[in-house]
Amino acid sequence: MVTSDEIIKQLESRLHAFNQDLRSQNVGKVERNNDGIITVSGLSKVEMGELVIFDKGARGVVLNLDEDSVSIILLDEGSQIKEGDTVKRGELLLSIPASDELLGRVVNPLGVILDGKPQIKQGKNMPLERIAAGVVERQPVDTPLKTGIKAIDAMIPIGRGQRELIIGDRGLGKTAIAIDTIINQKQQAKDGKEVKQVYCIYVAIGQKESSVAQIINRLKEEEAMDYTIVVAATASDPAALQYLAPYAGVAIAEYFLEKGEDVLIVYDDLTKHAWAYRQLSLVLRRPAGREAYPGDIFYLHSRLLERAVRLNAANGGGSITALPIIETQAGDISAYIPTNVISITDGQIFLESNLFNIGIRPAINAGSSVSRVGGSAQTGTMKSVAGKMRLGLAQYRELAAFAQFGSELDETTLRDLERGKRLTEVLKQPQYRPLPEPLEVISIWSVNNGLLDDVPVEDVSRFEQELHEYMQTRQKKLLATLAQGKKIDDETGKQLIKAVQEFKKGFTK
Amino acid sequence: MHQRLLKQLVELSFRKGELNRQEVSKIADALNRQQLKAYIGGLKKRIKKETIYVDLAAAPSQKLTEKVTMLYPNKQLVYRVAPELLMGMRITDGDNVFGLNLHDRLETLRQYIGE
Repeated sequence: MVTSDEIIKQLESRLHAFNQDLRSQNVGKVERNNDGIITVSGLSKVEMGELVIFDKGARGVVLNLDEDSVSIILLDEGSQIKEGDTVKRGELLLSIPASDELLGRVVNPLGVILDGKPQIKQGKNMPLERIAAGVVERQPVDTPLKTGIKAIDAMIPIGRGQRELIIGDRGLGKTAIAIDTIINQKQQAKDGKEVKQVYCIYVAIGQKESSVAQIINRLKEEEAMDYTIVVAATASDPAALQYLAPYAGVAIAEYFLEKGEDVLIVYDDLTKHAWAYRQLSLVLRRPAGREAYPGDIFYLHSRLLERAVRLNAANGGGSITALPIIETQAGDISAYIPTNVISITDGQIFLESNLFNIGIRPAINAGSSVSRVGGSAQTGTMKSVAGKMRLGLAQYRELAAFAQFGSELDETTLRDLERGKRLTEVLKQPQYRPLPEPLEVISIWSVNNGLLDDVPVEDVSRFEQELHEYMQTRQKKLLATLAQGKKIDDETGKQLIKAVQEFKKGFTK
Repeated sequence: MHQRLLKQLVELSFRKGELNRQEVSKIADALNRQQLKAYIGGLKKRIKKETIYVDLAAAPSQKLTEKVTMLYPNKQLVYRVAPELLMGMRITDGDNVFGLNLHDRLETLRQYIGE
């Protein structure tokens, strides 16, 4: 127990260290307060992006440096700020305190706790704006980040350190893919002893508070909150906080990156982020460009996404994988913000409403979706089963359109059509049910090798579910072999055929 | 009114470092209400730039005023009494504030210990 003598001794030692030199302050006076933007005269020595403090303790960030004045965005409640109030320099750039205690917590972009639990002790101050790691510090993406979603892990694989965009209209399951990916990282902790735990950060930008609450509840139910941090700037928060939210998220991610950890960060969504920035820029009287966005709207997202990185061993070996989400209108991926972000990221997962409406969920358009990292982010096992799947699926879709006209088809074509239907069924997956890789491999391998050809299409889903249960109870050794990540050799292939045929004997159609 | 034009008008209003009544009157007559408001704001800023405010806990002594005048030979000095400073003085030069008083020192110490 700390005694009062010890406390006094500590204070005295701090007194000795007190710097008694004359201190000067550079101050300003409030001239105008418009829509959360404060115009201040003075502050001639303030820096861009610096934190400033008002008389009553409210904080702001400098966003414009004009000849005779400075424009500041408010970060706190500012209704009491009036003309003539004094503003002082904070003499530090905007930062967020980050520590391991943030895991499982919900914070706002300034680090204020939102979940009603005790305050977090002061962590390391991580700057919101930071230059991304250089070329020399990086290494190519070579470790998979498994989403647990068959369609993605097989055809659009994501690696640790990659930026993969999730793009589509509202209500098609963009957030669902991100949440399933977060939930799937829990399985890694249990099964993959050699694979590092991936810490997850979910950044909610401009969303409804009820939606954020639902997501947090779901993560708690799936026991995913233990390794997840939620940074929330909801629709009722000022545009300034919505603008800062993604940068706060990646600043926290960099805290873990510096420790050599792997991090997954989801930005949900960058469309609202662009809207918030447009609002701020218009109030700051910056020149408006296309669609009234400011001229540096590309830089807004490029500098954010460049901070997703895979560092080499000399720099800790950690990674930040980014899953930005963009909402399109009427499926238009050629609009301004979508094209900007597509050109920045290392691939996109394109969700289509047509597919969603006919029951294909996740509604991923395999033709328009791509992962520029590709096979480097897949294990040998997955690569061996999913190698030609994308092409096969595309061919099936072409054939299916052709077959609608009822013309006579040869046997091979009919077989390909039937197999394609079953492959489409296998790629469907319920929400909140990410699968470990061995089960994904078994499903895809079975359908590609014709083992489901005699199963009616309407029974494929049930067949797959029961096959998984069978494998998990009766074929644990085979699952362990598949979990090693090696290419499926002849011996393993024979074991797989035997196991599936064994299961089929007991399967009732 | 364009900022550059406003600055030029403000500069023209001063003769030998002091505000010239005739010039100000001539300029003011040519401006509309909004422009006049901007012009007055510009004059105030210009005057403030040339003025040093010295806040003291008590009335200044002659020795002190001589020393401060030596520090700022070309500026207009305005002395104000601010008892809350307790001891010492505070010098405000534009947007730079120099705290040479007990109140500011105690405040800084309080913040330092609080950190």
